[in-house]
Amino acid sequence: MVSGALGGGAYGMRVSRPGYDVLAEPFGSAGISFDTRVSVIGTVVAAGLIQCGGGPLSFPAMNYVPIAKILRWDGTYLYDHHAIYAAFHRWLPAIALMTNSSIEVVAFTNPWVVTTNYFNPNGTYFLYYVFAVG
Amino acid sequence: MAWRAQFGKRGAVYGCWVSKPGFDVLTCAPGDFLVDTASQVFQSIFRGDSLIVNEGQATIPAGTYGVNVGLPATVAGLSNLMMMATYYMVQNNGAQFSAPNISQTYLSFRTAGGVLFLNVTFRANGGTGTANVTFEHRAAYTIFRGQF
Amino acid sequence: MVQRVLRGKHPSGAYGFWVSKPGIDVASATVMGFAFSSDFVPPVMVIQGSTVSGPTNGPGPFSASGAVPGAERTVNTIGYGRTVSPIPAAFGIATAPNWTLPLAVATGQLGYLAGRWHTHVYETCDNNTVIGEYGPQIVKTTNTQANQVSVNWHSAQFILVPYTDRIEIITNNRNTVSIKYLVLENRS
Repeated sequence: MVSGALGGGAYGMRVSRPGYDVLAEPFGSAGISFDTRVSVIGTVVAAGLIQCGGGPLSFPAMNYVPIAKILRWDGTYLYDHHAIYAAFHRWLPAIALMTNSSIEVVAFTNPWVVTTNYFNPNGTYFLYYVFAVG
Repeated sequence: MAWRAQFGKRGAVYGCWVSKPGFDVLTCAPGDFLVDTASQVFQSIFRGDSLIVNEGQATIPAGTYGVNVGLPATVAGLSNLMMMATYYMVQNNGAQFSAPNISQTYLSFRTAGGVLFLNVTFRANGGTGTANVTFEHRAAYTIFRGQF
Repeated sequence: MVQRVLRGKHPSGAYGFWVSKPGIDVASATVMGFAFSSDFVPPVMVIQGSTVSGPTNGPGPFSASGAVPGAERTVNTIGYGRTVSPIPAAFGIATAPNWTLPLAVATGQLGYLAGRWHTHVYETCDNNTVIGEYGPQIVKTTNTQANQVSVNWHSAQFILVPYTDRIEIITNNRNTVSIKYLVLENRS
Protein backbone atom coordinates (compact mmCIF):
# COMPACT_ATOMS: atom_id res chain seq x y z
CA MET A 1 0.00 0.00 0.00
CA VAL A 2 1.27 3.49 -0.73
CA SER A 3 -0.23 6.81 0.18
CA GLY A 4 1.34 10.00 -1.05
CA ALA A 5 3.11 10.57 -4.35
CA LEU A 6 2.04 8.04 -6.97
CA GLY A 7 4.26 9.27 -9.75
CA GLY A 8 3.60 11.60 -12.62
CA GLY A 9 2.83 14.39 -10.20
CA ALA A 10 -0.25 12.63 -8.80
CA TYR A 11 -0.91 12.17 -5.10
CA GLY A 12 -3.24 9.63 -3.64
CA MET A 13 -3.51 6.11 -2.34
CA ARG A 14 -2.85 2.79 -3.99
CA VAL A 15 -3.36 -0.71 -2.66
CA SER A 16 -2.21 -3.89 -4.37
CA ARG A 17 -3.59 -7.40 -4.17
CA PRO A 18 -1.60 -10.17 -2.50
CA GLY A 19 1.45 -11.07 -4.53
CA TYR A 20 1.58 -7.80 -6.47
CA ASP A 21 4.06 -4.95 -5.92
CA VAL A 22 2.09 -1.74 -5.48
CA LEU A 23 5.02 0.30 -6.81
CA ALA A 24 5.67 -1.85 -9.87
CA GLU A 25 2.22 -2.55 -11.24
CA PRO A 26 1.18 -0.29 -14.15
CA PHE A 27 -1.85 1.93 -13.97
CA GLY A 28 -4.96 -0.15 -14.61
CA SER A 29 -3.31 -3.41 -13.57
CA ALA A 30 -5.49 -6.25 -12.37
CA GLY A 31 -3.03 -6.55 -9.50
CA ILE A 32 -4.18 -3.28 -8.00
CA SER A 33 -7.13 -3.42 -5.65
CA PHE A 34 -7.57 0.30 -5.40
CA ASP A 35 -6.14 3.46 -6.96
CA THR A 36 -7.49 6.91 -6.18
CA ARG A 37 -6.54 8.13 -9.67
CA VAL A 38 -9.34 6.03 -11.11
CA SER A 39 -12.54 8.04 -11.23
CA VAL A 40 -14.96 5.19 -11.81
CA ILE A 41 -14.54 1.73 -10.35
CA GLY A 42 -18.08 0.42 -10.55
CA THR A 43 -18.80 1.21 -6.94
CA VAL A 44 -22.33 0.32 -5.95
CA VAL A 45 -24.16 2.68 -3.62
CA ALA A 46 -27.13 0.43 -3.08
CA ALA A 47 -27.96 -3.18 -3.85
CA GLY A 48 -30.43 -5.80 -2.75
CA LEU A 49 -33.89 -7.08 -3.52
CA ILE A 50 -36.80 -4.89 -4.52
CA GLN A 51 -40.36 -5.93 -5.19
CA CYS A 52 -41.99 -5.04 -8.51
CA GLY A 53 -44.98 -2.87 -7.79
CA GLY A 54 -43.85 -2.36 -4.21
CA GLY A 55 -43.16 1.34 -4.54
CA PRO A 56 -39.88 3.24 -4.55
CA LEU A 57 -36.90 2.27 -2.42
CA SER A 58 -34.74 5.16 -1.23
CA PHE A 59 -30.98 5.57 -1.07
CA PRO A 60 -28.93 8.62 0.00
CA ALA A 61 -29.54 11.50 -2.39
CA MET A 62 -26.87 11.88 -5.05
CA ASN A 63 -25.94 14.78 -7.30
CA TYR A 64 -27.05 12.83 -10.36
CA VAL A 65 -29.50 10.13 -11.38
CA PRO A 66 -27.40 6.96 -11.17
CA ILE A 67 -27.21 4.02 -13.54
CA ALA A 68 -28.96 0.92 -12.27
CA LYS A 69 -29.41 -2.70 -13.21
CA ILE A 70 -32.22 -5.09 -12.34
CA LEU A 71 -32.40 -8.87 -12.67
CA ARG A 72 -35.57 -10.82 -12.07
CA TRP A 73 -35.34 -13.37 -9.25
CA ASP A 74 -37.85 -16.17 -9.08
CA GLY A 75 -36.67 -17.24 -5.65
CA THR A 76 -34.08 -19.58 -7.10
CA TYR A 77 -32.69 -18.23 -10.36
CA LEU A 78 -31.73 -14.80 -11.63
CA TYR A 79 -32.84 -13.80 -15.14
CA ASP A 80 -31.30 -11.07 -17.25
CA HIS A 81 -33.17 -9.62 -20.23
CA HIS A 82 -35.67 -12.43 -20.18
CA ALA A 83 -38.40 -11.33 -22.57
CA ILE A 84 -41.96 -12.56 -22.46
CA TYR A 85 -43.26 -14.02 -25.70
CA ALA A 86 -47.07 -14.02 -25.94
CA ALA A 87 -49.94 -12.92 -28.19
CA PHE A 88 -47.55 -12.42 -31.13
CA HIS A 89 -45.70 -9.80 -29.07
CA ARG A 90 -42.55 -9.79 -27.00
CA TRP A 91 -41.53 -7.48 -24.17
CA LEU A 92 -39.34 -7.08 -21.12
CA PRO A 93 -41.72 -7.51 -18.20
CA ALA A 94 -40.40 -4.87 -15.79
CA ILE A 95 -38.59 -1.54 -15.76
CA ALA A 96 -36.67 0.25 -13.03
CA LEU A 97 -37.53 3.95 -12.67
CA MET A 98 -34.69 6.01 -11.27
CA THR A 99 -34.34 9.31 -9.46
CA ASN A 100 -31.29 10.67 -7.69
CA SER A 101 -32.53 9.12 -4.46
CA SER A 102 -34.78 6.19 -5.31
CA ILE A 103 -35.35 3.14 -7.44
CA GLU A 104 -38.75 1.71 -8.25
CA VAL A 105 -39.52 -1.38 -10.31
CA VAL A 106 -42.80 -1.37 -12.19
CA ALA A 107 -44.45 -3.76 -14.60
CA PHE A 108 -44.18 -2.86 -18.28
CA THR A 109 -47.73 -2.03 -19.39
CA ASN A 110 -49.12 -0.47 -22.56
CA PRO A 111 -52.46 0.27 -24.22
CA TRP A 112 -52.20 -2.41 -26.88
CA VAL A 113 -51.38 -5.66 -25.05
CA VAL A 114 -52.49 -6.47 -21.51
CA THR A 115 -49.03 -7.72 -20.61
CA THR A 116 -49.88 -8.75 -17.07
CA ASN A 117 -52.45 -11.25 -18.37
CA TYR A 118 -49.56 -13.26 -19.80
CA PHE A 119 -46.89 -12.60 -17.18
CA ASN A 120 -47.52 -10.46 -14.12
CA PRO A 121 -44.25 -9.38 -12.51
CA ASN A 122 -45.99 -7.50 -9.70
CA GLY A 123 -44.94 -9.04 -6.42
CA THR A 124 -41.85 -10.60 -8.00
CA TYR A 125 -38.50 -9.65 -6.52
CA PHE A 126 -35.71 -8.11 -8.55
CA LEU A 127 -32.06 -7.96 -7.59
CA TYR A 128 -30.92 -4.39 -8.13
CA TYR A 129 -27.60 -2.58 -8.29
CA VAL A 130 -27.33 1.21 -8.17
CA PHE A 131 -23.92 2.32 -9.39
CA ALA A 132 -22.03 5.42 -8.25
CA VAL A 133 -22.01 6.45 -11.89
CA GLY A 134 -24.34 8.73 -13.81
CA MET B 1 -6.49 20.84 -3.26
CA ALA B 2 -9.41 18.75 -2.05
CA TRP B 3 -9.11 16.24 0.78
CA ARG B 4 -9.52 12.79 -0.77
CA ALA B 5 -9.36 10.23 2.06
CA GLN B 6 -11.03 10.11 5.44
CA PHE B 7 -10.55 7.48 8.13
CA GLY B 8 -12.45 7.35 11.37
CA LYS B 9 -15.74 8.96 12.31
CA ARG B 10 -17.92 10.61 9.70
CA GLY B 11 -21.07 11.91 11.27
CA ALA B 12 -22.21 9.06 13.48
CA VAL B 13 -20.50 6.31 11.50
CA TYR B 14 -16.96 4.95 11.62
CA GLY B 15 -15.25 3.78 8.45
CA CYS B 16 -13.14 4.77 5.49
CA TRP B 17 -14.05 7.09 2.66
CA VAL B 18 -12.19 8.06 -0.48
CA SER B 19 -13.69 10.58 -2.86
CA LYS B 20 -13.52 10.59 -6.65
CA PRO B 21 -10.86 12.84 -8.18
CA GLY B 22 -11.84 16.47 -7.85
CA PHE B 23 -14.28 15.93 -4.99
CA ASP B 24 -13.65 16.89 -1.35
CA VAL B 25 -14.18 13.78 0.78
CA LEU B 26 -15.35 15.89 3.70
CA THR B 27 -18.26 17.47 1.83
CA CYS B 28 -19.05 15.36 -1.20
CA ALA B 29 -22.40 13.70 -1.71
CA PRO B 30 -23.21 10.00 -1.91
CA GLY B 31 -22.24 8.74 -5.33
CA ASP B 32 -19.09 10.88 -5.42
CA PHE B 33 -17.01 8.35 -3.50
CA LEU B 34 -14.65 5.70 -4.81
CA VAL B 35 -14.81 3.95 -1.47
CA ASP B 36 -17.60 4.35 1.05
CA THR B 37 -17.43 1.64 3.65
CA ALA B 38 -20.70 2.83 5.12
CA SER B 39 -22.54 1.61 2.02
CA GLN B 40 -21.43 -1.01 -0.49
CA VAL B 41 -17.96 -1.51 -1.91
CA PHE B 42 -18.49 -3.98 -4.67
CA GLN B 43 -15.39 -6.09 -5.04
CA SER B 44 -14.92 -9.09 -7.23
CA ILE B 45 -14.10 -12.34 -5.48
CA PHE B 46 -14.27 -14.58 -8.51
CA ARG B 47 -14.50 -14.16 -12.25
CA GLY B 48 -14.86 -16.72 -14.99
CA ASP B 49 -16.05 -17.63 -18.43
CA SER B 50 -17.88 -20.91 -19.01
CA LEU B 51 -19.20 -22.87 -21.96
CA ILE B 52 -22.80 -23.86 -21.27
CA VAL B 53 -23.93 -25.56 -24.46
CA ASN B 54 -22.43 -26.13 -27.90
CA GLU B 55 -24.93 -25.61 -30.72
CA GLY B 56 -24.00 -27.45 -33.88
CA GLN B 57 -25.73 -28.87 -36.91
CA ALA B 58 -27.82 -31.36 -34.92
CA THR B 59 -31.14 -30.34 -33.47
CA ILE B 60 -31.11 -29.29 -29.84
CA PRO B 61 -34.50 -29.97 -28.28
CA ALA B 62 -36.23 -27.10 -26.55
CA GLY B 63 -35.37 -27.08 -22.89
CA THR B 64 -32.80 -25.98 -20.36
CA TYR B 65 -29.11 -26.88 -20.44
CA GLY B 66 -26.73 -26.07 -17.62
CA VAL B 67 -23.27 -26.27 -16.14
CA ASN B 68 -22.02 -25.96 -12.56
CA VAL B 69 -18.94 -24.01 -11.52
CA GLY B 70 -17.30 -24.51 -8.15
CA LEU B 71 -16.54 -21.22 -6.41
CA PRO B 72 -13.45 -20.45 -4.30
CA ALA B 73 -13.13 -21.72 -0.77
CA THR B 74 -13.61 -18.16 0.51
CA VAL B 75 -17.31 -18.46 -0.35
CA ALA B 76 -17.70 -22.17 0.38
CA GLY B 77 -21.25 -22.97 1.32
CA LEU B 78 -22.56 -19.47 0.58
CA SER B 79 -25.66 -18.80 -1.53
CA ASN B 80 -27.34 -15.88 -3.25
CA LEU B 81 -24.11 -14.06 -4.00
CA MET B 82 -24.36 -10.77 -5.83
CA MET B 83 -23.07 -11.20 -9.35
CA MET B 84 -23.27 -10.16 -12.96
CA ALA B 85 -23.26 -12.47 -15.96
CA THR B 86 -22.96 -11.67 -19.65
CA TYR B 87 -24.53 -14.18 -22.00
CA TYR B 88 -22.69 -14.34 -25.31
CA MET B 89 -21.94 -16.66 -28.21
CA VAL B 90 -18.77 -17.58 -30.05
CA GLN B 91 -19.06 -18.81 -33.60
CA ASN B 92 -16.67 -21.45 -34.88
CA ASN B 93 -14.87 -18.71 -36.85
CA GLY B 94 -13.98 -17.03 -33.55
CA ALA B 95 -16.44 -14.15 -33.78
CA GLN B 96 -17.95 -13.13 -30.44
CA PHE B 97 -21.28 -11.42 -30.12
CA SER B 98 -23.83 -10.84 -27.44
CA ALA B 99 -26.51 -13.42 -27.38
CA PRO B 100 -29.44 -11.32 -28.54
CA ASN B 101 -31.06 -9.56 -25.64
CA ILE B 102 -34.39 -10.80 -26.82
CA SER B 103 -34.08 -14.14 -28.46
CA GLN B 104 -35.11 -17.75 -28.57
CA THR B 105 -32.52 -18.54 -25.91
CA TYR B 106 -31.91 -16.89 -22.56
CA LEU B 107 -29.60 -17.21 -19.58
CA SER B 108 -30.50 -17.84 -15.97
CA PHE B 109 -28.08 -18.30 -13.09
CA ARG B 110 -27.78 -18.69 -9.33
CA THR B 111 -25.28 -19.41 -6.60
CA ALA B 112 -26.04 -21.94 -3.92
CA GLY B 113 -23.80 -23.77 -1.47
CA GLY B 114 -20.65 -22.30 -2.97
CA VAL B 115 -21.56 -23.40 -6.52
CA LEU B 116 -22.49 -21.25 -9.52
CA PHE B 117 -25.24 -22.70 -11.69
CA LEU B 118 -25.51 -21.40 -15.28
CA ASN B 119 -28.42 -22.34 -17.53
CA VAL B 120 -29.32 -21.62 -21.14
CA THR B 121 -32.95 -22.25 -22.07
CA PHE B 122 -34.03 -22.89 -25.65
CA ARG B 123 -37.64 -21.73 -26.10
CA ALA B 124 -37.82 -23.74 -29.31
CA ASN B 125 -35.62 -26.39 -30.92
CA GLY B 126 -32.09 -25.15 -31.63
CA GLY B 127 -29.35 -26.29 -33.95
CA THR B 128 -27.64 -24.47 -36.79
CA GLY B 129 -28.65 -27.04 -39.39
CA THR B 130 -25.32 -26.44 -41.11
CA ALA B 131 -22.33 -28.72 -40.85
CA ASN B 132 -19.67 -26.03 -40.66
CA VAL B 133 -21.44 -23.55 -38.38
CA THR B 134 -21.42 -23.93 -34.61
CA PHE B 135 -22.12 -21.58 -31.74
CA GLU B 136 -20.79 -21.84 -28.22
CA HIS B 137 -23.34 -20.48 -25.76
CA ARG B 138 -21.21 -18.99 -23.01
CA ALA B 139 -21.45 -16.79 -19.96
CA ALA B 140 -18.79 -14.47 -18.59
CA TYR B 141 -19.43 -13.64 -14.95
CA THR B 142 -18.19 -11.79 -11.93
CA ILE B 143 -19.12 -12.81 -8.40
CA PHE B 144 -19.12 -9.86 -6.00
CA ARG B 145 -18.43 -9.83 -2.30
CA GLY B 146 -22.05 -9.44 -1.25
CA GLN B 147 -25.17 -11.47 -0.68
CA PHE B 148 -28.86 -10.84 -1.11
CA MET C 1 -15.36 -1.60 20.58
CA VAL C 2 -14.03 -3.82 17.81
CA GLN C 3 -11.09 -2.94 15.63
CA ARG C 4 -12.44 -1.83 12.21
CA VAL C 5 -9.38 -0.84 10.17
CA LEU C 6 -6.18 -2.78 9.61
CA ARG C 7 -3.25 -1.60 7.50
CA GLY C 8 -0.22 -3.79 7.29
CA LYS C 9 0.06 -7.42 8.31
CA HIS C 10 -3.19 -9.30 8.88
CA PRO C 11 -3.23 -12.14 11.44
CA SER C 12 -3.64 -14.44 8.46
CA GLY C 13 -0.15 -13.41 7.36
CA ALA C 14 -1.19 -11.35 4.35
CA TYR C 15 -0.22 -7.71 3.96
CA GLY C 16 -2.75 -5.16 2.83
CA PHE C 17 -5.56 -2.91 3.89
CA TRP C 18 -8.90 -3.99 5.35
CA VAL C 19 -11.99 -2.29 6.75
CA SER C 20 -14.62 -4.45 8.43
CA LYS C 21 -18.34 -3.84 8.58
CA PRO C 22 -19.72 -2.24 11.76
CA GLY C 23 -19.63 -4.56 14.73
CA ILE C 24 -17.18 -7.00 13.14
CA ASP C 25 -13.54 -7.32 14.23
CA VAL C 26 -11.33 -6.74 11.21
CA ALA C 27 -8.79 -9.30 12.44
CA SER C 28 -11.29 -12.16 12.43
CA ALA C 29 -13.72 -11.09 9.73
CA THR C 30 -14.58 -13.53 6.96
CA VAL C 31 -15.01 -12.56 3.35
CA MET C 32 -18.53 -11.12 3.77
CA GLY C 33 -17.56 -9.30 6.95
CA PHE C 34 -15.39 -6.75 5.20
CA ALA C 35 -16.53 -3.41 3.90
CA PHE C 36 -13.28 -3.25 1.95
CA SER C 37 -10.48 -5.73 1.43
CA SER C 38 -7.32 -5.29 -0.59
CA ASP C 39 -7.48 -9.01 -1.37
CA PHE C 40 -10.01 -8.23 -4.07
CA VAL C 41 -10.48 -5.79 -6.94
CA PRO C 42 -13.51 -3.72 -7.87
CA PRO C 43 -15.22 -4.16 -11.21
CA VAL C 44 -12.99 -2.80 -13.97
CA MET C 45 -14.56 -0.07 -16.03
CA VAL C 46 -14.31 -0.26 -19.82
CA ILE C 47 -16.16 2.91 -20.75
CA GLN C 48 -18.65 5.23 -19.12
CA GLY C 49 -20.48 8.29 -20.38
CA SER C 50 -23.64 9.78 -21.76
CA THR C 51 -25.08 10.31 -25.20
CA VAL C 52 -28.29 11.10 -27.05
CA SER C 53 -30.13 9.02 -29.63
CA GLY C 54 -32.25 10.84 -32.18
CA PRO C 55 -35.17 9.37 -34.14
CA THR C 56 -34.64 7.56 -37.42
CA ASN C 57 -37.33 7.74 -40.06
CA GLY C 58 -39.00 4.56 -41.24
CA PRO C 59 -42.12 3.40 -43.07
CA GLY C 60 -45.48 3.66 -41.32
CA PRO C 61 -48.81 2.04 -42.07
CA PHE C 62 -50.39 3.12 -45.35
CA SER C 63 -47.31 5.13 -46.15
CA ALA C 64 -44.34 4.00 -48.16
CA SER C 65 -42.56 7.31 -47.69
CA GLY C 66 -40.39 6.07 -44.89
CA ALA C 67 -40.75 9.41 -43.17
CA VAL C 68 -42.15 8.38 -39.79
CA PRO C 69 -39.66 9.33 -37.03
CA GLY C 70 -38.82 6.46 -34.73
CA ALA C 71 -40.40 3.83 -36.97
CA GLU C 72 -36.90 2.64 -37.82
CA ARG C 73 -34.44 1.88 -35.04
CA THR C 74 -31.50 4.14 -34.26
CA VAL C 75 -28.24 2.35 -33.53
CA ASN C 76 -25.59 4.34 -31.69
CA THR C 77 -22.14 2.76 -31.72
CA ILE C 78 -19.58 3.71 -29.06
CA GLY C 79 -16.14 2.11 -29.30
CA TYR C 80 -14.06 1.03 -26.33
CA GLY C 81 -10.77 1.98 -27.97
CA ARG C 82 -9.56 -1.55 -27.25
CA THR C 83 -10.69 -5.15 -27.46
CA VAL C 84 -12.23 -6.73 -24.39
CA SER C 85 -12.62 -10.47 -24.19
CA PRO C 86 -14.89 -12.00 -23.11
CA ILE C 87 -17.68 -9.59 -23.90
CA PRO C 88 -18.17 -7.17 -20.98
CA ALA C 89 -21.37 -6.30 -19.15
CA ALA C 90 -23.26 -3.15 -20.17
CA PHE C 91 -25.57 -1.08 -18.00
CA GLY C 92 -27.55 2.02 -18.78
CA ILE C 93 -30.57 4.21 -18.19
CA ALA C 94 -32.48 6.47 -20.57
CA THR C 95 -35.06 9.21 -20.57
CA ALA C 96 -37.21 10.81 -23.26
CA PRO C 97 -39.96 13.46 -23.16
CA ASN C 98 -42.43 10.76 -24.10
CA TRP C 99 -42.63 7.37 -25.79
CA THR C 100 -45.36 8.10 -28.32
CA LEU C 101 -46.03 5.16 -30.56
CA PRO C 102 -43.86 5.44 -33.69
CA LEU C 103 -46.49 4.91 -36.35
CA ALA C 104 -48.04 7.18 -38.97
CA VAL C 105 -50.93 7.42 -36.55
CA ALA C 106 -49.15 8.49 -33.34
CA THR C 107 -51.53 6.95 -30.86
CA GLY C 108 -50.85 5.57 -27.44
CA GLN C 109 -47.93 6.56 -25.26
CA LEU C 110 -46.27 5.09 -22.21
CA GLY C 111 -47.05 8.03 -19.95
CA TYR C 112 -45.43 6.52 -16.86
CA LEU C 113 -42.05 6.64 -18.62
CA ALA C 114 -42.33 10.22 -19.90
CA GLY C 115 -39.49 12.31 -18.55
CA ARG C 116 -38.31 9.53 -16.22
CA TRP C 117 -34.91 7.87 -16.19
CA HIS C 118 -35.39 4.11 -16.56
CA THR C 119 -33.70 0.84 -17.48
CA HIS C 120 -34.24 -1.17 -20.64
CA VAL C 121 -37.57 -1.10 -22.41
CA TYR C 122 -38.44 -3.34 -25.31
CA GLU C 123 -41.78 -4.05 -26.92
CA THR C 124 -42.52 -5.21 -30.42
CA CYS C 125 -44.60 -7.70 -32.36
CA ASP C 126 -43.64 -10.74 -34.39
CA ASN C 127 -42.43 -10.36 -37.96
CA ASN C 128 -44.68 -11.25 -40.91
CA THR C 129 -47.83 -11.32 -38.76
CA VAL C 130 -50.66 -8.83 -39.32
CA ILE C 131 -51.13 -7.03 -36.00
CA GLY C 132 -53.96 -4.67 -35.17
CA GLU C 133 -53.42 -4.02 -31.47
CA TYR C 134 -51.49 -0.81 -31.99
CA GLY C 135 -54.45 0.83 -33.76
CA PRO C 136 -53.83 0.61 -37.48
CA GLN C 137 -53.05 -2.84 -38.83
CA ILE C 138 -49.35 -3.29 -39.35
CA VAL C 139 -47.02 -6.07 -40.37
CA LYS C 140 -43.28 -6.09 -39.80
CA THR C 141 -41.80 -7.07 -43.10
CA THR C 142 -39.00 -6.44 -45.52
CA ASN C 143 -41.51 -6.25 -48.37
CA THR C 144 -43.25 -3.08 -49.45
CA GLN C 145 -46.91 -3.25 -48.53
CA ALA C 146 -49.56 -0.71 -47.71
CA ASN C 147 -49.49 -1.53 -44.00
CA GLN C 148 -45.83 -2.33 -43.63
CA VAL C 149 -43.34 -1.29 -41.00
CA SER C 150 -39.68 -2.20 -40.77
CA VAL C 151 -38.60 -5.47 -39.21
CA ASN C 152 -36.77 -3.20 -36.73
CA TRP C 153 -39.96 -1.44 -35.66
CA HIS C 154 -40.65 -1.37 -31.92
CA SER C 155 -43.38 0.47 -30.04
CA ALA C 156 -40.65 1.41 -27.60
CA GLN C 157 -37.04 0.35 -27.46
CA PHE C 158 -33.99 1.23 -25.39
CA ILE C 159 -31.42 -1.52 -25.02
CA LEU C 160 -27.62 -1.76 -24.82
CA VAL C 161 -25.81 -4.53 -26.67
CA PRO C 162 -22.13 -5.03 -25.80
CA TYR C 163 -19.52 -6.46 -28.16
CA THR C 164 -15.82 -7.07 -27.70
CA ASP C 165 -14.83 -3.66 -29.07
CA ARG C 166 -17.92 -1.50 -28.87
CA ILE C 167 -21.36 -1.03 -27.44
CA GLU C 168 -24.51 -0.49 -29.46
CA ILE C 169 -27.31 1.54 -27.90
CA ILE C 170 -30.53 0.94 -29.80
CA THR C 171 -33.67 3.07 -29.56
CA ASN C 172 -37.07 3.48 -31.23
CA ASN C 173 -38.63 6.79 -30.28
CA ARG C 174 -40.20 9.76 -32.05
CA ASN C 175 -38.12 12.02 -29.80
CA THR C 176 -34.47 12.27 -28.84
CA VAL C 177 -33.54 9.87 -26.05
CA SER C 178 -30.90 10.83 -23.47
CA ILE C 179 -28.77 7.92 -22.27
CA LYS C 180 -26.18 7.20 -19.59
CA TYR C 181 -24.07 4.06 -19.96
CA LEU C 182 -21.48 2.03 -18.08
CA VAL C 183 -19.55 -1.01 -19.30
CA LEU C 184 -17.75 -3.26 -16.80
CA GLU C 185 -15.27 -5.97 -17.61
CA ASN C 186 -15.68 -9.63 -16.62
CA ARG C 187 -11.93 -10.04 -16.49
CA SER C 188 -10.43 -13.18 -15.02
